[in-house]
Amino acid sequence: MPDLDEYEALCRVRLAHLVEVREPLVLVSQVQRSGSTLLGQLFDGHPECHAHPYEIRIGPRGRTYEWPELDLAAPGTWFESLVERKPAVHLVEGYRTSSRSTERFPFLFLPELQRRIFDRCVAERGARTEREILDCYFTSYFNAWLDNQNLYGGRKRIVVGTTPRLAMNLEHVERFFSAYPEGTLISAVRSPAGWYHSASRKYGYESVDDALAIWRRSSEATLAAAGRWGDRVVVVVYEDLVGRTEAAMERIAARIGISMTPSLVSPTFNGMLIRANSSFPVDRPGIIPERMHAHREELDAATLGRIEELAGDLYERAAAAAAA
Amino acid sequence: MTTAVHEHDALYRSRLEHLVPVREPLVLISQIQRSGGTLLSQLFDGHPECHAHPHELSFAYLNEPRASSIDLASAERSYEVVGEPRLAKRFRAGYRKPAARPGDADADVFPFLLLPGLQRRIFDACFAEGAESDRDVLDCYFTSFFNAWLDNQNLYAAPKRLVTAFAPRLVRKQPAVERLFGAYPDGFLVSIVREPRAWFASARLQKERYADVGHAITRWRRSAEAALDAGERFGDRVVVVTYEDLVSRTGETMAWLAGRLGLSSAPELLVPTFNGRPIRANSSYAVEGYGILSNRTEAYRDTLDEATLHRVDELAGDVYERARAASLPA
Repeated sequence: MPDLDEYEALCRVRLAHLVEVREPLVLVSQVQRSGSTLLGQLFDGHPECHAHPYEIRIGPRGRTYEWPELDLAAPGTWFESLVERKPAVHLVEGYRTSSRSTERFPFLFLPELQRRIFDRCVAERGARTEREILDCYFTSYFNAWLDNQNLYGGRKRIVVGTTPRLAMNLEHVERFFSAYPEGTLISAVRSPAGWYHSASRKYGYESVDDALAIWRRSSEATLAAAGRWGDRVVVVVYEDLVGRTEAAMERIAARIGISMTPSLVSPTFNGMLIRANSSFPVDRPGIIPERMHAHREELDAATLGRIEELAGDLYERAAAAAAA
Repeated sequence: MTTAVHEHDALYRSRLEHLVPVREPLVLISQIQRSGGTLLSQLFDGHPECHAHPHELSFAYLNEPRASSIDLASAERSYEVVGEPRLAKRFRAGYRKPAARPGDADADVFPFLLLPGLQRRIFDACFAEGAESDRDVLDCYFTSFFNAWLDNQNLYAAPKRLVTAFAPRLVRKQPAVERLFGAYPDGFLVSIVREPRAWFASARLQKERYADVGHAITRWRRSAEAALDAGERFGDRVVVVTYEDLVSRTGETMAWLAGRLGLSSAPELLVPTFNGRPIRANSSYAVEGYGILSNRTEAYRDTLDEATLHRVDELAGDVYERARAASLPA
């Protein structure tokens, strides 16, 4: 069979057996280096979740960490407004947690098939609202991902994925809840010293004060969102996630309405064990709790003191909100 | 190059670059039709330690053992012996349960995204790396099968311990059983024996050739005796299970079977699925719900007359008792 025939047959079969994705979105968001990659990987493989396997980047070009801007009067622009560029790259190069990672995972995703699924979905459902368009987008995404190990099994209850930084702007959070009134925002707060230790290595911050201003902005936005949207916002402390994973995930699962399963305590990428997305060398898959306190030995006392002065109060408030 | 051709090419390259090698021993489920082989194969589907072949394994290597031999000098000729010609049709039309009748609008149809061209490329690539025995070729075949099956929901979970597959009737062919254990000294044959009266009531509805009691039960006996003989010859590598235990004591039976095969007990072993999706029973009767039909084990009493019941019992009751004794302890 010529290649094109086989490709067309593949598309036809997939289009004839689409798994409809209409579940509410659970969005994980806060400043980077706070555990969102880990959290996303803990949802991977849960039979009740369509888990987006890395960052959801459906915002406008150049501002993909923002909520998307859809012109509802121009259906021809919808797919281009939302489509993520990474899947095409990952199809060819495989998925890596970072450019330094030696682990590469297959990611069999057909962008052209995704477009066809989206077009079919919009036409068949008569999509007009932002939510209907997003449902078609996620239907196209999860069905065009051919080796998705979690498409058919279980009764799905949520779509889950991470978009770093989106929650730092409440205007975008408001737009998220406008599209998904039954959705949930999960926002993780990491101890400021641990966060600075990781983030400064990753992003090369020169000033503790400048770095901690970013951390404060994220944490304050998380607490403000929790104050404004109540139960629809789940605050998580990174140290709980890493140090008491089972208890933390049990609490999150209960809040977002999914069952507690063994898969929720083991980070995976499409069902395969994966190493942590750490700023430091990692020699094994899974969670590395011993790195949680590494900053105590590797940051000097003056830096630790300054961080405590700048952010200790806010971390205490976040921990209290997480425990509530 | 068009987008479609480019994507097709990228898909092939990515899959070939990230192959999951399949070298685990084969567990072959085999007995006469209408005995629960489809059900048992669907109970292995989704077990994280199994590469589960999702429908009947139909290659000449085992089906025609006297007329087909692997040629270690030729990938093409070897593929002719282990390839499954039906797969291309299943890819295009989807999978339907074997007992579904043509035009049965109620039958579930499941997608089965196995690319025949990709399968052949994977097989050739594997063969080229060095195939020195029948087992190497079979490993290449199953590697090509499970990796070219793109929407296989159970490819990556590790570690795998077994390949499971279902091939009706092979147990009756001694050369096929010998060939199985020749290639897989670490493999297993699992053979299901169904209570002969219940089996006859089901089989006569499915196949015209089983309408005559004497003829049908001769076939049933041949299958059950072949399973018992294989057990005597190959010992622990042969497992006999009764259909009645499988459907009435599913949890206990699957836990026992998992133990015999070296698998963990897992919740997946209790629910028949096709590639992770619940599937209705492959029954000769209309089936409305999903899962195992444990209430059908006595249904034959309503459809067979007393004389037939007595005749079947007379012809086959002794062999069924031997099968029960060889199966799961009461």
